[in-house]
Amino acid sequence: MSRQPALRVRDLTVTFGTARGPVPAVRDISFDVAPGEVLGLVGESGSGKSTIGLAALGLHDPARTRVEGSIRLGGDGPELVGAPEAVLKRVRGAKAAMVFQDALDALSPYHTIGAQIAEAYRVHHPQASRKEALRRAAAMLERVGIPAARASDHPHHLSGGMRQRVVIAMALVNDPDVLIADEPTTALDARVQRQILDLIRELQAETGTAMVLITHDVGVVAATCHRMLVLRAGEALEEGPTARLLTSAAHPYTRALVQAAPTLRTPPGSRLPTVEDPEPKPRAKARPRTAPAPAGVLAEVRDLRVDYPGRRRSRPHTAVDGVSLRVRHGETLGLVGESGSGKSTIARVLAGLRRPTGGEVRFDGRDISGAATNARLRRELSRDVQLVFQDPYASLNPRRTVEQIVTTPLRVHTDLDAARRRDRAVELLEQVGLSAAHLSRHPHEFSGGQRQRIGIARALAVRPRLVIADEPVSALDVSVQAQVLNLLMDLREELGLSLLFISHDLAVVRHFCDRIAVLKDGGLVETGPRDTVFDTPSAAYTKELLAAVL
Amino acid sequence: MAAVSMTHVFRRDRVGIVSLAVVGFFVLLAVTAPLITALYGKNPTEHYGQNETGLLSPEGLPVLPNGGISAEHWFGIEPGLGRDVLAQLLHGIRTSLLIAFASAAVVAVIGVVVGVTAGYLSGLVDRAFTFVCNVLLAFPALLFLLTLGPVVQTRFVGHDESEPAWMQFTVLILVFSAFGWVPLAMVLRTVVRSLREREFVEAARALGASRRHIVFRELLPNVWAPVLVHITLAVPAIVTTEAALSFLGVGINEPIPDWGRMISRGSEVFYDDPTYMVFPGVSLLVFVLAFNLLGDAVRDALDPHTVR
Repeated sequence: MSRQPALRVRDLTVTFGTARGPVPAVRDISFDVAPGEVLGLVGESGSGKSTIGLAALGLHDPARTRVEGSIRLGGDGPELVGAPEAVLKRVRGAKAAMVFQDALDALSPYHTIGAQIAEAYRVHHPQASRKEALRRAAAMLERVGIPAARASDHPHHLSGGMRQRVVIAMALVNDPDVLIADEPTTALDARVQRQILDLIRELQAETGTAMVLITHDVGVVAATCHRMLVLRAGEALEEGPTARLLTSAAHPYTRALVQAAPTLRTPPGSRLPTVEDPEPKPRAKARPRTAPAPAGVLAEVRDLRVDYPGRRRSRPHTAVDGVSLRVRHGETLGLVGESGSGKSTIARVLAGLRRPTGGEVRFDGRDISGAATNARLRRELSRDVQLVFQDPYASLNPRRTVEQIVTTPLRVHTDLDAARRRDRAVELLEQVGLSAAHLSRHPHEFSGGQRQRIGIARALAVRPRLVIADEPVSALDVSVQAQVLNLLMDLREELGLSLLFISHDLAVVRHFCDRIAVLKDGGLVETGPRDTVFDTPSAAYTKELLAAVL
Repeated sequence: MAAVSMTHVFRRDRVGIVSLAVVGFFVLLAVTAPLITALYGKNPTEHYGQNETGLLSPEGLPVLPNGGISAEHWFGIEPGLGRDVLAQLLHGIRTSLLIAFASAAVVAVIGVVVGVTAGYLSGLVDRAFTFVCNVLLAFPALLFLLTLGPVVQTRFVGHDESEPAWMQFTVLILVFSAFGWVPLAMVLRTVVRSLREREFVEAARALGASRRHIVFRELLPNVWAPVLVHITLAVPAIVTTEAALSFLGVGINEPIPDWGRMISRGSEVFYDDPTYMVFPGVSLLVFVLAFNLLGDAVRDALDPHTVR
């Protein structure tokens, strides 16, 4: 590229000073971003991708962070590494702007969105009048697709996608040369994510701003970026045009990263490539998953309705309304929907944790709708129905050892003595790819994927007949997600499990489930065998969801 | 998080180590006070100044300079009654620590039970709890203590006898506990309310665990950190309050040695014998400071987010 780069980073090394001594977050990173170009920084958690974004705006706390190397805006711009605060202040927002992941955190709850965008403008245009700034803010809102009339709204009046639009408007109001977007769509539902990415791309092409897009999601990069830089543990592994890296990457890690997340073209039930070495050996033969022969119904909800009581005097909020579902023996039912569609509520009702307001809930023919209030019934139910939770950090008690955690269901439901419980715990840990040596450790000594394995071992301890997995891989990095999915597929084959699998990720559900139920706003939109739902969806909403998958 | 890493962090906190050593020293003195005074050859209640000549002037002031410090009486003697200051000081630690530790123990038990219960049950129990807490916090505790002393004296003790020592201690411990559990219970209620929403509690319920299992095995291991911090900060507060009450004359009565009463006596004779005030005053200051610093260090060690 002959033109001057808009952002030039050379030998960037960032070291955090911690209680245990300096920890390098990124080492010797170099890249250029040309004007009008979009560079994707891709990596899993801990790869240092956000650190680079913060360093580009000089946002690291100098007391605890050492930044070395060189960062320049526009080939001959000022050096930003080690620059005094006065220089950085002129650059931030005006020449280089940032879009953060969490729009709610990035906006002040006490000011209207119009005032906040106007403020961002006036910081760098002190001579501009208040009126002119507000006029510009309104124009900017229109450009990101929000009617200017809403400029007097506060952030909490807007949806998540609208808030992210406001943050983008704030970042672009000063026509920056470089825009850094740190996971701008990670917290959003797929359809909204699609809209926001389209908007970003459109505005970026229109203004010719150079952009650095930081993300863990290869799909986002594929949809948005010209070039991508793959990071792992603070080091740059591979850089190149997106199309080349997606199809024929040189580095095995890049290849694994690209293929680890299932897409709508991955053969369902196939083993996903993983990155980590200590992956348990595949036990089941890799073969495409075929739906089990029709068998009896194991769990069933009919006309389910669940209301959450409103706060104070407001009306109760209906989370699930008129949903009928059934899980057959040996079958995996996938429950798909956006946030707030009632997926988790259905899981809780089936696990006996929440009492339905109306409708029927049956497990193995028995009415279990009272389990939430009847301790004995819930105890009996939990012998057969177990849950795997989304967040492996929150769902394991930090003060208990792995042995205590895994043997808790055995204490509750069996009369095995301590030694036999321990034997069973070892057996379970080995089943999920851990070992007896892990028994006396605490959850914080494990990685996210290992913790999720512990959660799975706990759920399997009493050999339940139905396992409800509520977004079991959403909180995990893609390579770890692939490991956990592989493990769940192996265990399903080995133990003949029936599963209710809840996810917002259509590709994962397609990969893992036999039958699919699509939920929207607490109602059932469509249900049917996997191939029918994905190949010939009947509901318009399902088509919309499928179109939004990157 | 784990106990191992906590002691590890604590060990690197130099202020924490020093304050722990000081606190340990005071506890050691309290435990071995009778032994030390026996070796020293004095006891805290004997009126040396009145029994021996040449120690106190006719006005009741020590004859020797600096409050009568001598090879015989290392910290001097008390004006008026002529008791040995060092022996009184050592036994005074026992009084303070006995009341403080006993009250803290009762506070911990009541606070944990009530706070965890209210936090876990919520609903009506929680509303009742909040109301009781607000009433107790609004209660003028100091005035209550001031008025309680004479009431106990007239109601439970005969005209011609003095209040027995155990009764004085019990009344103080009960009153400190009655008011002291409120802040701890309120903290724990908040902690438990947030823990309750954590997924691991839900996970335990989904496993079919009983309420008792959830409270004792899932919640309690997570609340001992705030309890420990609260207790280490409550002990010095009780020590100063007890001293203040004795200073005002409603705490521990003669002849049980007590720092607060020593300071009170010291203030009466401060113009003629300033030294007598110095020893109990400095001891109280050093002890309370060390215990407060220890509390800070414990809190830092238990909180993984503290930046050092």
